[in-house]
Amino acid sequence: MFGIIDCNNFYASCQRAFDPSLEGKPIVVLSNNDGCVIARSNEAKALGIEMGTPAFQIATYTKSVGVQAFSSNYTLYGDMSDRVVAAIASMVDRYEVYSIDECFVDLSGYEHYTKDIYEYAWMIKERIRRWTGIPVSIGIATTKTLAKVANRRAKKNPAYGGLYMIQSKTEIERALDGFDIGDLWGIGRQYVRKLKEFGCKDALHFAQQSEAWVAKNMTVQGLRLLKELNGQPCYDLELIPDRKKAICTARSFGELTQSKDVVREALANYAANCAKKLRKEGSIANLMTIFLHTNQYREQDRQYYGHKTIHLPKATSFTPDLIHSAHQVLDMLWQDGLNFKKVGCIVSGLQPEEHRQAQLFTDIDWEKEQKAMRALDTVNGWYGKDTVKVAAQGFGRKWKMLQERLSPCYTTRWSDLITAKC
Amino acid sequence: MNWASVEFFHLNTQTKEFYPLSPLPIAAGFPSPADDHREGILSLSELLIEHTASTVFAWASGRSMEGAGIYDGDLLIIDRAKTPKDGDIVIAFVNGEWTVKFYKKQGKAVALVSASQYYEPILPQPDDEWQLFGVVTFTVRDHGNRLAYKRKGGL
Repeated sequence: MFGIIDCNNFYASCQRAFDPSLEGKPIVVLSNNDGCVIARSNEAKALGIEMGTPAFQIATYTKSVGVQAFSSNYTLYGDMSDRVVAAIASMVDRYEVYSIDECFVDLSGYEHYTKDIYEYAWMIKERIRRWTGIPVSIGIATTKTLAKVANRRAKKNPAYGGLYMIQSKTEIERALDGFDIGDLWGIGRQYVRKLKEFGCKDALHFAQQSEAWVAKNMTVQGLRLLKELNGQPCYDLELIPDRKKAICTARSFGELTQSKDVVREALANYAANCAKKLRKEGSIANLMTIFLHTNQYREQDRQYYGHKTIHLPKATSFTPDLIHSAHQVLDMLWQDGLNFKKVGCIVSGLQPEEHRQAQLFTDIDWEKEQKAMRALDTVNGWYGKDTVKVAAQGFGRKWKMLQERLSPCYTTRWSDLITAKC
Repeated sequence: MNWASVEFFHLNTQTKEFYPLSPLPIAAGFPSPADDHREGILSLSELLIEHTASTVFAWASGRSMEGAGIYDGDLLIIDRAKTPKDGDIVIAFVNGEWTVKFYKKQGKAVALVSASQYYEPILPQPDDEWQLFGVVTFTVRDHGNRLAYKRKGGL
Protein backbone atom coordinates (compact mmCIF):
# COMPACT_ATOMS: atom_id res chain seq x y z
CA MET A 1 0.00 0.00 0.00
CA PHE A 2 1.21 3.48 -0.88
CA GLY A 3 0.58 6.59 1.14
CA ILE A 4 1.08 10.20 0.21
CA ILE A 5 1.72 12.50 3.16
CA ASP A 6 0.94 16.08 2.29
CA CYS A 7 1.51 19.01 4.67
CA ASN A 8 -1.56 21.22 4.96
CA ASN A 9 -0.92 24.77 3.75
CA PHE A 10 2.73 24.07 4.46
CA TYR A 11 4.20 27.58 4.37
CA ALA A 12 1.38 29.01 6.45
CA SER A 13 1.68 26.12 8.91
CA CYS A 14 5.43 26.74 9.29
CA GLN A 15 4.68 30.35 10.23
CA ARG A 16 2.20 29.15 12.82
CA ALA A 17 4.39 26.44 14.31
CA PHE A 18 6.42 29.04 16.22
CA ASP A 19 3.73 31.63 16.62
CA PRO A 20 0.54 29.97 17.86
CA SER A 21 -1.16 33.37 18.06
CA LEU A 22 -1.63 33.00 14.29
CA GLU A 23 -3.82 29.95 14.84
CA GLY A 24 -7.24 30.45 13.28
CA LYS A 25 -6.19 33.73 11.63
CA PRO A 26 -5.94 34.36 7.91
CA ILE A 27 -2.32 34.38 6.77
CA VAL A 28 -0.67 34.57 3.37
CA VAL A 29 2.92 34.07 2.24
CA LEU A 30 4.35 36.29 -0.49
CA SER A 31 6.65 35.33 -3.35
CA ASN A 32 10.31 36.34 -3.54
CA ASN A 33 10.50 40.11 -3.56
CA ASP A 34 7.14 40.28 -1.81
CA GLY A 35 5.43 40.31 -5.20
CA CYS A 36 2.27 38.26 -4.86
CA VAL A 37 0.54 35.59 -2.79
CA ILE A 38 2.02 32.09 -3.16
CA ALA A 39 0.48 30.37 -0.13
CA ARG A 40 -2.62 30.83 1.95
CA SER A 41 -4.05 29.47 5.18
CA ASN A 42 -7.57 28.03 5.03
CA GLU A 43 -8.89 31.23 6.59
CA ALA A 44 -7.29 33.30 3.83
CA LYS A 45 -8.77 30.98 1.19
CA ALA A 46 -12.17 31.41 2.80
CA LEU A 47 -11.85 35.19 2.40
CA GLY A 48 -11.54 34.63 -1.32
CA ILE A 49 -7.87 35.63 -1.57
CA GLU A 50 -6.56 33.98 -4.72
CA MET A 51 -3.08 32.69 -5.47
CA GLY A 52 -1.15 35.36 -7.31
CA THR A 53 -2.95 38.28 -5.69
CA PRO A 54 -0.50 41.21 -5.77
CA ALA A 55 0.94 42.16 -2.40
CA PHE A 56 -0.39 45.72 -2.52
CA GLN A 57 -3.94 44.38 -2.64
CA ILE A 58 -3.26 42.32 0.48
CA ALA A 59 -2.59 45.56 2.36
CA THR A 60 -6.29 46.40 2.10
CA TYR A 61 -7.23 42.98 3.52
CA THR A 62 -4.76 43.54 6.35
CA LYS A 63 -6.57 46.72 7.33
CA SER A 64 -10.09 45.42 6.99
CA VAL A 65 -9.94 41.81 8.18
CA GLY A 66 -6.49 41.44 9.74
CA VAL A 67 -4.82 39.24 7.15
CA GLN A 68 -1.17 38.73 8.11
CA ALA A 69 1.30 38.66 5.23
CA PHE A 70 4.79 37.13 5.42
CA SER A 71 7.75 37.24 3.07
CA SER A 72 8.64 33.70 2.06
CA ASN A 73 11.17 32.29 4.51
CA TYR A 74 12.66 29.32 2.68
CA THR A 75 15.28 28.81 5.39
CA LEU A 76 12.49 28.05 7.84
CA TYR A 77 10.40 26.02 5.38
CA GLY A 78 13.40 23.95 4.31
CA ASP A 79 14.33 23.08 7.87
CA MET A 80 10.73 22.25 8.81
CA SER A 81 10.46 20.05 5.72
CA ASP A 82 13.57 18.13 6.85
CA ARG A 83 12.00 17.68 10.27
CA VAL A 84 8.78 16.32 8.80
CA VAL A 85 10.77 13.86 6.68
CA ALA A 86 12.81 12.80 9.73
CA ALA A 87 9.59 12.13 11.64
CA ILE A 88 8.33 10.02 8.72
CA ALA A 89 11.66 8.19 8.46
CA SER A 90 11.38 7.26 12.13
CA MET A 91 8.27 5.23 11.26
CA VAL A 92 8.72 3.87 7.72
CA ASP A 93 11.73 2.42 5.92
CA ARG A 94 10.75 3.25 2.37
CA TYR A 95 9.81 6.82 1.53
CA GLU A 96 10.22 9.18 -1.39
CA VAL A 97 10.50 12.90 -0.71
CA TYR A 98 8.37 14.19 -3.55
CA SER A 99 8.45 17.92 -2.89
CA ILE A 100 9.07 20.35 -0.04
CA ASP A 101 5.70 19.43 1.47
CA GLU A 102 4.87 15.97 0.09
CA CYS A 103 6.29 12.53 0.72
CA PHE A 104 5.26 9.14 -0.66
CA VAL A 105 5.61 6.21 1.72
CA ASP A 106 5.36 2.46 1.32
CA LEU A 107 3.07 1.26 4.12
CA SER A 108 3.07 -2.42 3.21
CA GLY A 109 3.72 -4.63 6.17
CA TYR A 110 3.08 -2.06 8.85
CA GLU A 111 -0.36 -3.49 9.56
CA HIS A 112 1.47 -6.03 11.71
CA TYR A 113 2.51 -3.31 14.14
CA THR A 114 -0.99 -2.05 14.76
CA LYS A 115 -4.57 -3.06 14.10
CA ASP A 116 -4.24 -2.14 10.44
CA ILE A 117 -2.53 0.20 7.99
CA TYR A 118 -5.06 2.92 8.64
CA GLU A 119 -4.14 3.03 12.30
CA TYR A 120 -0.42 3.06 11.55
CA ALA A 121 -0.90 6.00 9.18
CA TRP A 122 -2.84 7.75 11.90
CA MET A 123 0.14 7.34 14.23
CA ILE A 124 2.46 8.83 11.59
CA LYS A 125 0.15 11.79 11.22
CA GLU A 126 0.01 12.36 14.96
CA ARG A 127 3.78 12.04 15.32
CA ILE A 128 4.45 14.65 12.63
CA ARG A 129 2.00 17.02 14.25
CA ARG A 130 3.48 16.51 17.65
CA TRP A 131 7.16 16.64 16.71
CA THR A 132 6.97 19.53 14.29
CA GLY A 133 3.61 21.23 14.79
CA ILE A 134 2.79 20.73 11.11
CA PRO A 135 -0.64 19.25 10.28
CA VAL A 136 -0.66 16.76 7.42
CA SER A 137 -3.19 14.86 5.32
CA ILE A 138 -2.57 11.29 4.26
CA GLY A 139 -4.11 9.39 1.35
CA ILE A 140 -3.63 5.64 1.12
CA ALA A 141 -4.28 3.23 -1.76
CA THR A 142 -2.68 0.43 -3.75
CA THR A 143 -1.19 2.83 -6.29
CA LYS A 144 0.49 6.23 -6.07
CA THR A 145 -2.11 7.78 -8.38
CA LEU A 146 -5.02 6.55 -6.25
CA ALA A 147 -3.19 7.59 -3.07
CA LYS A 148 -3.14 11.12 -4.48
CA VAL A 149 -6.88 10.90 -5.14
CA ALA A 150 -7.43 9.64 -1.59
CA ASN A 151 -5.37 12.51 -0.24
CA ARG A 152 -7.55 15.04 -1.99
CA ARG A 153 -10.58 13.42 -0.43
CA ALA A 154 -8.93 13.50 2.99
CA LYS A 155 -8.35 17.22 2.59
CA LYS A 156 -11.73 18.14 1.14
CA ASN A 157 -13.96 16.50 3.71
CA PRO A 158 -13.23 17.47 7.34
CA ALA A 159 -15.18 14.42 8.53
CA TYR A 160 -12.26 12.17 7.50
CA GLY A 161 -9.94 13.96 9.91
CA GLY A 162 -7.19 14.27 7.30
CA LEU A 163 -6.80 10.58 6.53
CA TYR A 164 -8.50 8.59 3.79
CA MET A 165 -7.85 5.11 2.49
CA ILE A 166 -9.09 3.58 -0.75
CA GLN A 167 -9.14 -0.21 -0.69
CA SER A 168 -12.01 -1.96 -2.42
CA LYS A 169 -13.24 -1.67 -5.98
CA THR A 170 -16.34 0.18 -4.76
CA GLU A 171 -14.20 2.66 -2.85
CA ILE A 172 -12.16 3.32 -5.98
CA GLU A 173 -15.35 4.00 -7.93
CA ARG A 174 -16.75 6.26 -5.25
CA ALA A 175 -13.53 8.25 -5.12
CA LEU A 176 -13.19 8.65 -8.88
CA ASP A 177 -16.84 9.52 -9.46
CA GLY A 178 -16.94 13.23 -10.20
CA PHE A 179 -13.17 13.58 -9.79
CA ASP A 180 -11.84 16.09 -12.32
CA ILE A 181 -9.43 14.50 -14.80
CA GLY A 182 -7.26 17.60 -14.61
CA ASP A 183 -6.65 16.97 -10.91
CA LEU A 184 -5.16 13.51 -11.49
CA TRP A 185 -1.50 13.05 -10.61
CA GLY A 186 0.91 13.58 -13.47
CA ILE A 187 -1.58 14.13 -16.29
CA GLY A 188 -0.56 16.71 -18.86
CA ARG A 189 -2.77 19.59 -19.96
CA GLN A 190 -2.76 18.18 -23.51
CA TYR A 191 -4.33 14.92 -22.38
CA VAL A 192 -6.90 16.63 -20.22
CA ARG A 193 -8.10 18.55 -23.26
CA LYS A 194 -7.97 15.47 -25.46
CA LEU A 195 -9.90 13.31 -23.01
CA LYS A 196 -12.52 15.98 -22.56
CA GLU A 197 -12.90 16.12 -26.35
CA PHE A 198 -13.46 12.37 -26.30
CA GLY A 199 -16.22 12.96 -23.79
CA CYS A 200 -14.54 11.66 -20.65
CA LYS A 201 -16.45 13.55 -18.00
CA ASP A 202 -14.49 12.48 -14.93
CA ALA A 203 -11.74 10.16 -13.69
CA LEU A 204 -14.19 7.29 -13.25
CA HIS A 205 -15.31 7.55 -16.85
CA PHE A 206 -11.69 7.39 -17.96
CA ALA A 207 -10.89 4.47 -15.65
CA GLN A 208 -13.67 2.47 -17.29
CA GLN A 209 -12.19 2.75 -20.79
CA SER A 210 -10.63 -0.34 -22.33
CA GLU A 211 -6.87 -0.73 -22.49
CA ALA A 212 -7.10 -1.03 -26.26
CA TRP A 213 -8.88 2.31 -26.55
CA VAL A 214 -6.37 4.05 -24.31
CA ALA A 215 -3.41 2.44 -26.10
CA LYS A 216 -4.79 3.71 -29.40
CA ASN A 217 -5.49 7.26 -28.28
CA MET A 218 -2.76 7.90 -25.74
CA THR A 219 0.84 6.90 -25.15
CA VAL A 220 2.16 4.34 -22.70
CA GLN A 221 1.85 6.98 -20.02
CA GLY A 222 -1.91 7.00 -20.52
CA LEU A 223 -2.01 3.25 -20.22
CA ARG A 224 -0.13 3.39 -16.95
CA LEU A 225 -2.56 5.98 -15.67
CA LEU A 226 -5.47 3.70 -16.56
CA LYS A 227 -3.91 0.76 -14.71
CA GLU A 228 -3.00 2.84 -11.70
CA LEU A 229 -6.59 4.13 -11.48
CA ASN A 230 -7.79 0.55 -11.50
CA GLY A 231 -5.57 -0.33 -8.60
CA GLN A 232 -2.67 -1.95 -10.47
CA PRO A 233 0.59 -0.27 -9.44
CA CYS A 234 2.84 0.89 -12.28
CA TYR A 235 4.98 3.31 -10.33
CA ASP A 236 7.14 2.37 -7.38
CA LEU A 237 8.79 4.80 -5.02
CA GLU A 238 11.77 6.57 -6.53
CA LEU A 239 14.23 5.96 -3.77
CA ILE A 240 17.42 7.24 -5.30
CA PRO A 241 17.09 10.87 -6.20
CA ASP A 242 18.30 11.65 -9.70
CA ARG A 243 21.44 13.63 -9.85
CA LYS A 244 20.22 17.09 -10.66
CA LYS A 245 20.41 17.98 -14.31
CA ALA A 246 21.00 21.65 -13.72
CA ILE A 247 21.31 24.11 -10.88
CA CYS A 248 19.86 27.57 -11.20
CA THR A 249 20.04 30.67 -9.05
CA ALA A 250 18.18 33.74 -10.23
CA ARG A 251 16.26 36.51 -8.55
CA SER A 252 14.47 39.64 -9.53
CA PHE A 253 16.08 42.82 -8.27
CA GLY A 254 14.44 44.67 -5.42
CA GLU A 255 14.11 47.57 -7.81
CA LEU A 256 14.85 47.89 -11.52
CA THR A 257 18.46 48.79 -12.26
CA GLN A 258 20.57 50.20 -15.07
CA SER A 259 23.82 49.82 -13.16
CA LYS A 260 26.22 47.20 -14.44
CA ASP A 261 28.02 47.14 -11.09
CA VAL A 262 24.82 46.19 -9.31
CA VAL A 263 24.07 43.43 -11.83
CA ARG A 264 27.67 42.16 -11.71
CA GLU A 265 27.57 41.92 -7.96
CA ALA A 266 24.23 40.14 -7.92
CA LEU A 267 25.42 37.70 -10.57
CA ALA A 268 28.62 36.99 -8.63
CA ASN A 269 26.48 35.97 -5.69
CA TYR A 270 24.26 33.72 -7.80
CA ALA A 271 27.29 32.07 -9.41
CA ALA A 272 28.78 31.57 -5.93
CA ASN A 273 25.51 30.04 -4.82
CA CYS A 274 25.50 27.63 -7.79
CA ALA A 275 29.09 26.70 -6.92
CA LYS A 276 28.12 25.97 -3.35
CA LYS A 277 25.20 23.80 -4.45
CA LEU A 278 27.45 21.93 -6.87
CA ARG A 279 29.93 21.13 -4.13
CA LYS A 280 27.18 20.10 -1.77
CA GLU A 281 26.09 17.35 -4.09
CA GLY A 282 29.60 16.50 -5.23
CA SER A 283 29.15 17.65 -8.82
CA ILE A 284 31.07 19.76 -11.26
CA ALA A 285 29.55 21.65 -14.19
CA ASN A 286 30.59 21.79 -17.82
CA LEU A 287 28.17 24.43 -19.05
CA MET A 288 27.02 27.79 -17.84
CA THR A 289 24.02 29.82 -18.96
CA ILE A 290 23.54 33.44 -17.98
CA PHE A 291 20.31 35.29 -18.62
CA LEU A 292 19.45 38.91 -18.14
CA HIS A 293 16.14 40.57 -18.82
CA THR A 294 13.96 43.60 -18.39
CA ASN A 295 10.46 43.80 -16.94
CA GLN A 296 8.07 42.68 -19.67
CA TYR A 297 5.11 44.30 -17.93
CA ARG A 298 6.58 47.78 -18.22
CA GLU A 299 5.39 48.72 -21.66
CA GLN A 300 7.08 52.10 -21.46
CA ASP A 301 10.51 50.38 -21.25
CA ARG A 302 12.59 49.05 -24.09
CA GLN A 303 12.52 45.29 -23.71
CA TYR A 304 15.45 42.93 -23.73
CA TYR A 305 15.81 39.24 -23.03
CA GLY A 306 19.39 38.07 -23.33
CA HIS A 307 20.79 34.66 -22.62
CA LYS A 308 23.95 32.84 -23.53
CA THR A 309 25.39 29.42 -22.80
CA ILE A 310 29.10 28.69 -22.77
CA HIS A 311 31.32 25.69 -22.27
CA LEU A 312 33.35 26.28 -19.16
CA PRO A 313 37.13 26.13 -19.73
CA LYS A 314 37.14 23.15 -17.39
CA ALA A 315 34.42 21.32 -15.53
CA THR A 316 34.41 22.89 -12.10
CA SER A 317 32.69 23.78 -8.86
CA PHE A 318 35.35 26.34 -7.91
CA THR A 319 33.64 29.58 -6.91
CA PRO A 320 36.17 32.08 -8.32
CA ASP A 321 36.22 30.29 -11.71
CA LEU A 322 32.43 30.27 -11.96
CA ILE A 323 32.18 33.94 -11.01
CA HIS A 324 34.86 34.81 -13.53
CA SER A 325 33.06 32.97 -16.33
CA ALA A 326 29.71 34.45 -15.33
CA HIS A 327 31.17 37.96 -15.60
CA GLN A 328 32.63 37.20 -19.02
CA VAL A 329 29.23 36.11 -20.28
CA LEU A 330 27.61 39.16 -18.72
CA ASP A 331 30.00 41.38 -20.68
CA MET A 332 28.72 39.76 -23.85
CA LEU A 333 25.07 40.22 -22.91
CA TRP A 334 25.25 43.69 -21.42
CA GLN A 335 23.44 46.64 -22.97
CA ASP A 336 23.52 50.12 -21.52
CA GLY A 337 20.47 52.16 -20.67
CA LEU A 338 17.96 49.40 -20.01
CA ASN A 339 15.95 48.91 -16.85
CA PHE A 340 16.94 45.40 -15.84
CA LYS A 341 14.64 43.29 -13.75
CA LYS A 342 16.40 39.99 -13.31
CA VAL A 343 19.68 38.19 -13.80
CA GLY A 344 20.36 34.51 -13.31
CA CYS A 345 22.95 31.80 -13.55
CA ILE A 346 22.35 28.19 -14.57
CA VAL A 347 25.05 25.54 -14.46
CA SER A 348 24.43 22.31 -16.33
CA GLY A 349 26.22 19.39 -17.91
CA LEU A 350 26.80 18.11 -14.41
CA GLN A 351 29.02 15.19 -13.61
CA PRO A 352 30.26 13.67 -10.37
CA GLU A 353 33.46 15.38 -9.30
CA GLU A 354 35.31 12.07 -9.08
CA HIS A 355 34.71 11.58 -12.82
CA ARG A 356 36.73 14.68 -13.48
CA GLN A 357 38.82 14.11 -16.54
CA ALA A 358 42.55 14.47 -16.37
CA GLN A 359 43.12 18.12 -16.84
CA LEU A 360 45.73 20.00 -18.68
CA PHE A 361 46.48 21.64 -15.40
CA THR A 362 48.15 19.60 -12.74
CA ASP A 363 46.21 17.89 -10.01
CA ILE A 364 47.92 20.11 -7.49
CA ASP A 365 45.76 23.00 -8.70
CA TRP A 366 42.68 20.87 -8.31
CA GLU A 367 43.64 19.83 -4.80
CA LYS A 368 44.36 23.39 -3.81
CA GLU A 369 41.02 24.53 -5.15
CA GLN A 370 39.23 21.75 -3.34
CA LYS A 371 40.99 22.56 -0.09
CA ALA A 372 40.15 26.22 -0.38
CA MET A 373 36.50 25.49 -1.14
CA ARG A 374 36.24 23.02 1.70
CA ALA A 375 37.61 25.65 4.06
CA LEU A 376 35.18 28.23 2.66
CA ASP A 377 32.19 25.92 3.06
CA THR A 378 33.24 24.92 6.57
CA VAL A 379 33.66 28.49 7.77
CA ASN A 380 30.36 29.53 6.22
CA GLY A 381 28.70 26.46 7.67
CA TRP A 382 29.88 27.45 11.14
CA TYR A 383 29.47 31.17 11.09
CA GLY A 384 26.64 31.66 8.65
CA LYS A 385 26.15 32.19 4.95
CA ASP A 386 28.68 34.44 3.19
CA THR A 387 30.86 35.05 6.24
CA VAL A 388 33.74 34.49 3.85
CA LYS A 389 33.15 35.35 0.23
CA VAL A 390 34.81 36.36 -2.98
CA ALA A 391 35.33 40.12 -3.22
CA ALA A 392 33.27 40.28 -6.43
CA GLN A 393 30.22 39.33 -4.36
CA GLY A 394 30.53 42.76 -2.82
CA PHE A 395 28.91 44.40 0.16
CA GLY A 396 26.44 46.66 -1.61
CA ARG A 397 23.45 44.37 -1.81
CA LYS A 398 21.51 46.98 -3.79
CA TRP A 399 20.19 44.08 -5.81
CA LYS A 400 18.88 42.29 -2.76
CA MET A 401 15.38 40.91 -2.57
CA LEU A 402 12.68 42.81 -0.81
CA GLN A 403 11.72 40.84 2.26
CA GLU A 404 9.96 43.37 4.35
CA ARG A 405 7.82 40.92 6.22
CA LEU A 406 10.36 38.24 6.90
CA SER A 407 9.65 36.08 9.92
CA PRO A 408 12.47 34.78 12.15
CA CYS A 409 14.44 31.67 11.18
CA TYR A 410 13.30 30.03 14.42
CA THR A 411 15.24 26.79 13.98
CA THR A 412 18.44 27.79 12.22
CA ARG A 413 19.69 31.07 13.71
CA TRP A 414 20.73 31.68 17.30
CA SER A 415 19.49 35.25 17.12
CA ASP A 416 16.05 34.12 15.88
CA LEU A 417 15.13 31.54 18.54
CA ILE A 418 11.93 32.07 20.44
CA THR A 419 12.30 33.70 23.84
CA ALA A 420 10.43 32.08 26.69
CA LYS A 421 9.53 34.07 29.77
CA CYS A 422 10.20 32.66 33.15
CA MET B 1 72.06 -0.72 13.78
CA ASN B 2 71.35 1.85 11.12
CA TRP B 3 68.44 4.02 12.32
CA ALA B 4 67.66 5.27 8.86
CA SER B 5 66.39 1.84 7.92
CA VAL B 6 64.08 1.36 10.85
CA GLU B 7 60.44 0.96 9.94
CA PHE B 8 57.57 1.03 12.37
CA PHE B 9 54.68 -1.39 12.30
CA HIS B 10 51.40 -1.57 14.11
CA LEU B 11 50.14 -4.88 15.33
CA ASN B 12 46.41 -5.20 14.99
CA THR B 13 45.58 -7.45 17.91
CA GLN B 14 42.37 -8.71 16.40
CA THR B 15 43.62 -9.76 12.98
CA LYS B 16 47.15 -10.47 14.26
CA GLU B 17 48.43 -8.58 11.27
CA PHE B 18 51.27 -6.14 11.13
CA TYR B 19 50.90 -3.13 8.95
CA PRO B 20 53.37 -0.38 8.25
CA LEU B 21 52.81 3.05 9.69
CA SER B 22 52.42 5.72 7.11
CA PRO B 23 54.68 8.68 7.77
CA LEU B 24 52.66 11.15 9.77
CA PRO B 25 53.30 14.86 9.72
CA ILE B 26 54.17 15.15 13.37
CA ALA B 27 56.75 17.69 14.39
CA ALA B 28 58.51 15.31 16.76
CA GLY B 29 58.97 12.92 13.91
CA PHE B 30 57.69 10.04 15.95
CA PRO B 31 54.26 8.47 15.31
CA SER B 32 51.71 9.18 17.98
CA PRO B 33 51.09 6.12 20.14
CA ALA B 34 47.48 7.32 20.42
CA ASP B 35 46.72 6.99 16.72
CA ASP B 36 45.28 3.55 17.12
CA HIS B 37 43.02 4.58 19.93
CA ARG B 38 41.19 7.57 18.53
CA GLU B 39 37.43 7.48 18.99
CA GLY B 40 36.31 10.76 17.47
CA ILE B 41 35.42 13.87 19.44
CA LEU B 42 32.55 13.96 21.90
CA SER B 43 29.44 15.57 20.51
CA LEU B 44 27.23 17.65 22.76
CA SER B 45 24.37 17.26 20.29
CA GLU B 46 24.57 13.51 20.65
CA LEU B 47 24.50 13.86 24.43
CA LEU B 48 21.74 16.44 24.70
CA ILE B 49 19.46 15.73 21.76
CA GLU B 50 17.45 12.56 21.45
CA HIS B 51 15.37 13.44 18.38
CA THR B 52 16.76 16.17 16.14
CA ALA B 53 13.44 16.43 14.32
CA SER B 54 11.47 17.30 17.43
CA THR B 55 14.08 19.36 19.27
CA VAL B 56 13.83 23.13 19.37
CA PHE B 57 15.99 25.69 21.17
CA ALA B 58 14.79 28.80 22.98
CA TRP B 59 16.25 31.57 25.11
CA ALA B 60 15.11 31.91 28.71
CA SER B 61 14.23 35.38 29.95
CA GLY B 62 13.26 36.32 33.50
CA ARG B 63 13.81 35.10 37.05
CA SER B 64 10.79 32.99 38.01
CA MET B 65 12.57 29.68 37.40
CA GLU B 66 15.82 30.40 39.23
CA GLY B 67 14.67 27.98 41.93
CA ALA B 68 14.78 25.27 39.26
CA GLY B 69 18.22 26.37 38.09
CA ILE B 70 17.08 28.25 35.01
CA TYR B 71 18.54 31.73 34.74
CA ASP B 72 18.01 34.68 32.47
CA GLY B 73 19.84 34.13 29.19
CA ASP B 74 20.10 30.34 29.47
CA LEU B 75 19.62 28.26 26.35
CA LEU B 76 16.71 25.86 26.69
CA ILE B 77 16.68 22.55 24.87
CA ILE B 78 13.12 21.43 24.27
CA ASP B 79 11.92 18.06 23.06
CA ARG B 80 8.44 18.14 21.55
CA ALA B 81 8.28 14.36 21.29
CA LYS B 82 8.14 13.91 25.06
CA THR B 83 4.87 13.70 26.96
CA PRO B 84 5.13 15.91 30.05
CA LYS B 85 4.92 14.18 33.40
CA ASP B 86 3.94 15.80 36.66
CA GLY B 87 6.84 17.97 37.80
CA ASP B 88 8.54 18.28 34.40
CA ILE B 89 9.67 21.68 33.21
CA VAL B 90 7.71 22.63 30.10
CA ILE B 91 7.39 25.45 27.65
CA ALA B 92 3.88 26.62 26.78
CA PHE B 93 2.26 29.36 24.79
CA VAL B 94 -0.20 31.16 27.07
CA ASN B 95 -2.16 34.24 26.08
CA GLY B 96 0.22 35.34 23.40
CA GLU B 97 3.47 34.53 25.20
CA TRP B 98 5.97 31.70 25.49
CA THR B 99 6.54 30.74 29.10
CA VAL B 100 8.69 28.24 31.03
CA LYS B 101 7.10 26.61 34.06
CA PHE B 102 6.74 23.43 36.07
CA TYR B 103 3.99 21.20 34.76
CA LYS B 104 1.79 20.20 37.70
CA LYS B 105 -1.26 18.00 37.53
CA GLN B 106 -4.13 19.02 39.77
CA GLY B 107 -6.67 16.29 39.37
CA LYS B 108 -7.69 16.56 35.75
CA ALA B 109 -6.56 20.15 35.41
CA VAL B 110 -3.07 21.38 34.72
CA ALA B 111 -1.23 24.16 36.49
CA LEU B 112 1.89 25.92 35.25
CA VAL B 113 3.89 26.73 38.34
CA SER B 114 6.95 28.91 38.84
CA ALA B 115 9.92 27.96 40.96
CA SER B 116 9.41 31.12 42.98
CA GLN B 117 6.80 32.13 45.54
CA TYR B 118 6.64 35.61 44.05
CA TYR B 119 4.94 34.39 40.88
CA GLU B 120 1.37 33.14 40.85
CA PRO B 121 0.74 29.75 39.20
CA ILE B 122 -0.97 29.89 35.81
CA LEU B 123 -4.18 27.88 35.70
CA PRO B 124 -5.20 27.82 32.04
CA GLN B 125 -8.95 28.19 31.67
CA PRO B 126 -10.93 26.48 28.92
CA ASP B 127 -11.31 29.71 26.92
CA ASP B 128 -7.69 30.76 27.41
CA GLU B 129 -5.61 30.58 24.31
CA TRP B 130 -2.91 28.17 25.36
CA GLN B 131 -0.79 25.42 23.90
CA LEU B 132 1.72 23.06 25.46
CA PHE B 133 4.82 23.14 23.26
CA GLY B 134 7.31 20.67 24.68
CA VAL B 135 9.38 19.44 27.60
CA VAL B 136 12.59 21.22 28.58
CA THR B 137 15.19 18.46 28.69
CA PHE B 138 18.37 20.45 29.27
CA THR B 139 19.53 24.00 29.78
CA VAL B 140 22.87 25.45 28.79
CA ARG B 141 24.33 28.22 30.93
CA ASP B 142 27.16 30.41 29.82
CA HIS B 143 29.81 31.41 32.33
CA GLY B 144 31.29 33.92 29.95
CA ASN B 145 29.31 36.00 27.49
CA ARG B 146 29.35 33.98 24.30
CA LEU B 147 25.68 32.97 24.43
CA ALA B 148 24.54 36.56 24.90
CA TYR B 149 26.68 37.49 21.94
CA LYS B 150 25.20 34.72 19.79
CA ARG B 151 21.74 35.74 20.82
CA LYS B 152 22.36 39.21 19.50
CA GLY B 153 23.39 37.76 16.17
CA GLY B 154 27.16 37.84 16.66
CA LEU B 155 29.49 35.39 14.99
